[in-house]
Amino acid sequence: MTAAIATKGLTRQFGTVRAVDGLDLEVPRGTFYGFLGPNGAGKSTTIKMLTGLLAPTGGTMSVLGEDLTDRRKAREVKRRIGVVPENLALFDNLTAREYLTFIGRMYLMPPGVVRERTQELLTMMSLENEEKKLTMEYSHGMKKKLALAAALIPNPELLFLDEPFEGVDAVASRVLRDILKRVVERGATVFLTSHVLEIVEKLCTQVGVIAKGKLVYQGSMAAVRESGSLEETFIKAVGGDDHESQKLSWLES
Amino acid sequence: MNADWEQLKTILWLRWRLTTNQWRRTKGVGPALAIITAVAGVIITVAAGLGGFFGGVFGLATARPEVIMLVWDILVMAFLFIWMVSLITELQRSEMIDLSRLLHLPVSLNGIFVINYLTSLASLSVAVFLPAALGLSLGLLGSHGWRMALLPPLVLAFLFMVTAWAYHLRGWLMVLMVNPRRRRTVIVTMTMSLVLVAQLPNLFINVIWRPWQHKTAPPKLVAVPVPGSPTNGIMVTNGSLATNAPSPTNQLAVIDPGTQPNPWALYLQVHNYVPLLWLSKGAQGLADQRVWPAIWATLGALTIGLAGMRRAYVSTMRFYQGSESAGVAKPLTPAPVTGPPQRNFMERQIPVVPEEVAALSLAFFRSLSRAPEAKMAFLSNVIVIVVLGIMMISHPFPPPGDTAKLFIATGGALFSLLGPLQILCNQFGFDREGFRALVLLPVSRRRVLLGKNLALAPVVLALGFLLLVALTFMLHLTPLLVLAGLVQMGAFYLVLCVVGNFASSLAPYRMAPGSLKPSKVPAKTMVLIFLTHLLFPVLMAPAFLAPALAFGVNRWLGWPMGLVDVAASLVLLGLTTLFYSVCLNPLAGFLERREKDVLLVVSQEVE
Repeated sequence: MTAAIATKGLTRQFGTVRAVDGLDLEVPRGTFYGFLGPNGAGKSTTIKMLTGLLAPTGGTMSVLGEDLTDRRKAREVKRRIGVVPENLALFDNLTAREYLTFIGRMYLMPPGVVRERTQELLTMMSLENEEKKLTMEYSHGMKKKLALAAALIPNPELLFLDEPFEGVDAVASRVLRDILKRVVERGATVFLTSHVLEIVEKLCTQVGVIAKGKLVYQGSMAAVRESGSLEETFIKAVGGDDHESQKLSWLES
Repeated sequence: MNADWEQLKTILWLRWRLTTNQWRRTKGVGPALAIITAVAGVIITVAAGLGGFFGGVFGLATARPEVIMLVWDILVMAFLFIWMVSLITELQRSEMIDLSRLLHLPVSLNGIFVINYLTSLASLSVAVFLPAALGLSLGLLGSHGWRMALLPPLVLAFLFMVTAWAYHLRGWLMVLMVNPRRRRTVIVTMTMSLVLVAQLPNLFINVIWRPWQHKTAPPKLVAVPVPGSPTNGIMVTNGSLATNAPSPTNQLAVIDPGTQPNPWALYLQVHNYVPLLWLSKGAQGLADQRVWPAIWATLGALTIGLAGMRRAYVSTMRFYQGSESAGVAKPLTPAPVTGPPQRNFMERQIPVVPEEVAALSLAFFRSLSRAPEAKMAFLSNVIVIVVLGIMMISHPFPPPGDTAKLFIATGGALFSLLGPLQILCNQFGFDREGFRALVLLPVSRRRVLLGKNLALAPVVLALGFLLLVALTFMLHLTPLLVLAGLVQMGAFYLVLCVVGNFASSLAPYRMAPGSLKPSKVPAKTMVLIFLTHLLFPVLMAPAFLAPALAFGVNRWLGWPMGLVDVAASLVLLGLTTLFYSVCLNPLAGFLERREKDVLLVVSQEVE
């Protein structure tokens, strides 16, 4: 079986800046993959390319065995993936139910199925009582939950999540984690970026670390645990210096 | 194909839901306003169509071809003007259906592109122009015969040409505006271009055409044979124009005695080369029983429109799929450290002014100088000054007397205070989320207000000075009058500050970033904005006491007007300074009581 995601020398250049520089990535199907990296490392750019939001300037990539840069195939691949993009891509003047209905219809799902899944997702995400509110009136966490519900509604084979836990409260975070675990248990693949290393450590089976556009670490979570904690592996991989904070001597005065 | 159709239906449903929800959110007056707008829209559309039709049948039944051309020109110009205004308004808000929100979905981009184009046609300008133009075409068909049947296709081709290129322009500007700093520049440039374009007819008439000069030198009428012209028409000979024709073979030509080319001839020639005027050119040709201009115009407009559409399609697809860079900033190369860091703008001191007030005013000034809305407000003033200046120079006005100059100087000084009125009366609305920092500051609100007022002062006074200098060149104002004007401007800036500070705390409204468009303004605030502008002349009226006093003293005692004007202005400045200092503490207290409500209003993001 082909990998869920496979890239070879994937590159994206903006002017003189290489946001992603020759990325070789392989994510097997059924994996919970954590894609980590410091701010500005190229995580979101990679997700944008893998979801067809941004064209690469070099290299090759396949998603669910298909080339997403081929416009004829891109639409078919997109039918099989769910995405929670960085900016959430919600419509401010829609209610949660309307938004989920819209997404369901765009995936050409039968109206009865859309209705049923919408109700279940709204209940699970504790959004059913906020039904009359427009999404612009939602808190950041509620918007995140709605975006995830929208990504889940077509029951995708591959789920891309860009910072899904950022700004989400502990209760909602627990719900999201449980849902994502179930998604992976039924054989789907989850590819997520996050700054919350504890959550990645708990959820993911594979991790990759990107720094300055290059993949600097890739391995299983078991291998990470053998060599210490994820935090240590991450800092070592990106070349972080934990003595930097000692420079602000005036803080002690 | 079926999938595409299903998705297109879903997009249409989405647009409908977004619109109805937007109206629903405004509650109260919202639905009523929606109904009124819809009814008004229908009435305007029907009226435009009927007006055009009856105008064509009766009004233009016996009109000469050039008159028909002029009518079409007016219609086209009115349409283009309203179209541009709505285009700029559109640019200042986010797209109703932003393609980037759909790209991760399994959606047909071509379908969305077409839907977005078609929905861009749903505007007031098209709703008025299209029925009016089609009605006029049908009316002309009734009154001028079968040839006019070529007009409706020409109208549609013209509309396609304009809307396709506008769609391309909008897409291109949106690509540019992805970069937030460039976004500001784009909005300011577009708005200023619109203001300038709106002034073009004014400048054409007053500076190039100057019809009052033609009255003084009446043109000579001569009969000129027009070869190959079977009926009435116009003819240009040596830069002159024939405007009437008594017979099929001889026409009356208006020969301008001057050697300069006639503007009317120039105007006619322009129609050959400017595609936006081909509709009028085609209509003129058809009225003159020539069909080829209309056929060529239709084909030309269609070709240009298709080219625009193709460019719009290619650039939009390339941009949304990331093949086209929106201009990502290059990485900054750190400057070599050669010594202690340089003092930056924010570290400057202002003489006499307390440290906190200086810091506040410098921060406000820096922020305003980068805000496109502030630039637009001030630049509009400069443009008005320039246009007025050109008109005054080119018009043969009799030179004003000394008494008139006295009042003109005061009027000019006060006029410069009108531009920043909106900013002054909504000082916190432009801060948006930044106002939170002000609320958190451990600084007395008196100093906050002082900082706000001080930040605007240099720009307002500089503009006023510019205007007075311009007036001095044009009307030869004396230095004393200019000085008096400057003093009056300072005095009444203080009065405006008091009013502005009060209005800013009482009825703030959030300004949409990068525009002069308020977001979600309650009715009471609307009334207040209206009243502030209405009361502006009343508030400024006492400034005329100084020139009035100078005039009276000169009349009765014979003292020099300029000196008295300056002295009276200084007294006024003293009085307004006293008024300002007395009001500042109560205003600060009022702001302190209201600041949480102000914060709620100005920091609430509304689309």
